[in-house]
Amino acid sequence: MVNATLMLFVVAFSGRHALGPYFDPVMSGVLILVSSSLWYLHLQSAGMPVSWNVVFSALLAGQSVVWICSHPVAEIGDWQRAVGCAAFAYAMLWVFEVHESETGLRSLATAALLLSIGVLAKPPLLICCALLTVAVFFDERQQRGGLLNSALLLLTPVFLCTIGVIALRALAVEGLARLDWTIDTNSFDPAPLHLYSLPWQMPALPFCAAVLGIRLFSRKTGSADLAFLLLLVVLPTLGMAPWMPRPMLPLDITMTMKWGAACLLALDPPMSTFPRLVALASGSYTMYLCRG
Amino acid sequence: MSAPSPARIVRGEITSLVEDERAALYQQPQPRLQIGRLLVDAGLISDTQLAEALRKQIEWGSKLGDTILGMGWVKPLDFYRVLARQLSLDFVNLLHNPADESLFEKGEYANYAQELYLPWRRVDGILWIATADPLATALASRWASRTDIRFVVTSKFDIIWDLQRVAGAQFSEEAVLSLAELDPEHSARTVVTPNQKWWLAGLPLLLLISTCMFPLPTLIVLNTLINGLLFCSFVFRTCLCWMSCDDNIGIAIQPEEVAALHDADLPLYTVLVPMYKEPTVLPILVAALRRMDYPKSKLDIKLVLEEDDHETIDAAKLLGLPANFEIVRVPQSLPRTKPKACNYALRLARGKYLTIYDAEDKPEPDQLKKVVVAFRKLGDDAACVQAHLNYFNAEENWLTRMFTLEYSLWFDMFLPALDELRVPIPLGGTSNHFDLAKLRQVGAWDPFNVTEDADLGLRFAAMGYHVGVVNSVTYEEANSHLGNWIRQRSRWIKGYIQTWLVNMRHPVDLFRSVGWKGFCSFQLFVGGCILSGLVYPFLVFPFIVWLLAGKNMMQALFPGPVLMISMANLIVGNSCLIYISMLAVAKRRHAALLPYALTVPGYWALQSVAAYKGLWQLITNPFYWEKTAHGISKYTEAELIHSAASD
Repeated sequence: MVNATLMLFVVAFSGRHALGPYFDPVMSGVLILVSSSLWYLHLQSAGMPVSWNVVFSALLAGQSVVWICSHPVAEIGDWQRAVGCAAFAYAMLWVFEVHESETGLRSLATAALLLSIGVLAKPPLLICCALLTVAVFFDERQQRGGLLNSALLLLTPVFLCTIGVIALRALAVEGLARLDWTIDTNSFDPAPLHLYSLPWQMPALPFCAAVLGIRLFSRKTGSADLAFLLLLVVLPTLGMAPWMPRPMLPLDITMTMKWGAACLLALDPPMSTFPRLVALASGSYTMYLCRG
Repeated sequence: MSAPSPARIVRGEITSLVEDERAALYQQPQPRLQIGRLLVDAGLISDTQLAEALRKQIEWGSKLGDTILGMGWVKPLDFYRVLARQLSLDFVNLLHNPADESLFEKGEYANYAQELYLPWRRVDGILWIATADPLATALASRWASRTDIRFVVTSKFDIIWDLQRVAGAQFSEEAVLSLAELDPEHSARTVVTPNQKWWLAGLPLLLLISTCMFPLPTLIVLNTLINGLLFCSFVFRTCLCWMSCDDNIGIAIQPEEVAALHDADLPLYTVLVPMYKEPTVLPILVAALRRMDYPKSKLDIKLVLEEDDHETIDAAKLLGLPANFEIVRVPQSLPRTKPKACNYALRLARGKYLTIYDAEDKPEPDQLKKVVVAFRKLGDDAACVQAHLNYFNAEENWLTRMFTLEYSLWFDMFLPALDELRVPIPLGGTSNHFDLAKLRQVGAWDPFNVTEDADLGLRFAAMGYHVGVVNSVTYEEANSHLGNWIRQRSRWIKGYIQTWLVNMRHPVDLFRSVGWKGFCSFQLFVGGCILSGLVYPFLVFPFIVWLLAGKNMMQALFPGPVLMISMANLIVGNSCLIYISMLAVAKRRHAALLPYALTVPGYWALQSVAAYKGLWQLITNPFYWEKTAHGISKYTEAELIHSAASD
């Protein structure tokens, strides 16, 4: 199923010229399908019953559909970029959780390689995740030969990728500028965040609060929860920084929060009905708020 | 029923013996005490040594004589003289009284070597057999129906020496030609088959014509193909490393599993040490082998030396080696390669398992036991277990650091992941442990391939055998001199090209035998290794020109897409290499080397120099073995002192 949906994604992306003006809606549909399928699988692998998996996956898809239907087509591009950022945050939180249960180098390598993909996300999110990664893997410093070596292991891929992107962009400035498949990192209209209006711009808050509450009450909290909380605080702060080259939209933060909460829910799903119902109710309310 | 005396056995009355009586003969304490007492009486060992030997004999499950010889307390000649006296037999020194070679049967050479006997003389219708072990079960059953047999005692070294005198030429010929004649399709004796010649001539011609007619599209297609392959190769290697970041990958033998082994259950283990003009480093290996945690009576160690290498032969003799070491002199013949020497020594190997160490190797003491456990765990389809290799002189200079990074990457990351994927593993140069029967079955090493181990790993996979990787390390001496490094590396790349050409003679057959996973892995791993060495300059060149001459110049030389693909691959490839090297040293916990991983691209530039040298040599001198000089590290002296101290 995942292969089929991923294939759909590749087909839709490669056929973007043929799709013309329909590209964005088609791509959004594929993105919703891919993300819901992956979340379904994650929930399934964590032991959630199939019926609940279907309900939750439909909920995630429904939130996106509601948002797309209630916003102008011009904003779909922003939504797609926000999905990219949210997927990155989801994967990072997942790795932080894996780090707690897995010995060896693999979780560290996964975090480092994921961070390198983060050069395609918005800088505030990348910086935020890099800081969180260093903090979460701080306990490995003795094992890896000190702080400097740990930092080298964690940050070399993202550092090399940044150099690579800069080099490729430098090459593309003149002769290669016409190639539209070069990496496009800054092509949207910045709409700065405002602290006073932030809570009202974030429909994902009920869902986040419910998931964190469920995990807290069922004593399942770990470094992923702490990282998620820090992300919720640091990301808007960095996003509002005037020196930041690519400021965050409220939509980015909403999506990151929503997907982060979804990740926490899938890492160790509630095993009894009541917390599942709470998660479902909060998710439904979030969907209602997504109308804008 | 009383047990027959040993003298009766050797007087041709062996027919009256039955199996349980012979077993009783071994179990009775009297013969054991007798030989031990005789050795004490002769002043060859002390009472304390005898007591220790008797204890070890039970622990190891060996004969008392093998135990005493393995401990190195008695010179072999003295021991066999006493053994002859104990059995009331004559002792014969084959160096002075060689066997009558007309009595040798060609089909029996393998048995002579395995069972340590030779037909010595025929006198008055009586065939005299010279043997190092007149009480051996195999020998008794072999001559059970004969009454015209008499025995004399000789040392096992004399038997090996005399057998080589008579059969050496045949062994040498078999060592060179057996694979080429039995399975010519898998022998590198023919470098390029006629079909491959057509391809190798036709493709460049086609490319030339195409470039003349459609220069830009041809360049783009060619560049995309090469870079696509390279990109896949880099990604594949990164995935292998990511897999190997898991601590539980590969065959992880725990210390308690080794401790649970009973020495008495361990099989005879053959250790081959092929050497050529390496007298300096020999003591390092001998000391390491003496430290091995394995019953010494069950080690069959063979120093495989070239007949004309007098300096190493003399150095070996001067070391006063115990009786479980033998010197095998390989007759001069072409090609003069390590695999040929190993094939020659294989004819004399007696173990259930066999391993190869280089002259300067320092295997971890419990390696052989770990391998025995690994073979038992892997089951019947296991043909080979590869130990990890690393270096003891990593900190010597930049080159040794880079070499250590590379070996950590290869043996700690790539090979365990390939094992996990169950795809062909190109074996490393040493510390590969074989099931001897299966090694013989696949035709052993290809003497015409200069990376015979890599080739053998693929042949095992093609025949459905499993090659595993075990968590034990052998420390070697990293090349610290650039010239020496390039010589060694050019040989490796030449061998990789030979291996690729041999296996790609029939790509469909290869695909069928190793499956799609094995086929792709072979192309990306072995093929990628060759390709990356050869095309690296073409990736770096645009980058340097771009830096020096600016973009306009670049556009003239490399049209847009070509430049873009090359640059992307250069960046992705080098980034992958840097990071996986970091992961490798992090896994090996060699933290001091971690920052040096950032200089890996420079090392890969050297690899390209070696790749072109290897390619040139493949064309001009395909079977030439570029000898790597050992013992040139400044750490060698310290290792020698350490070895002497540990002895």
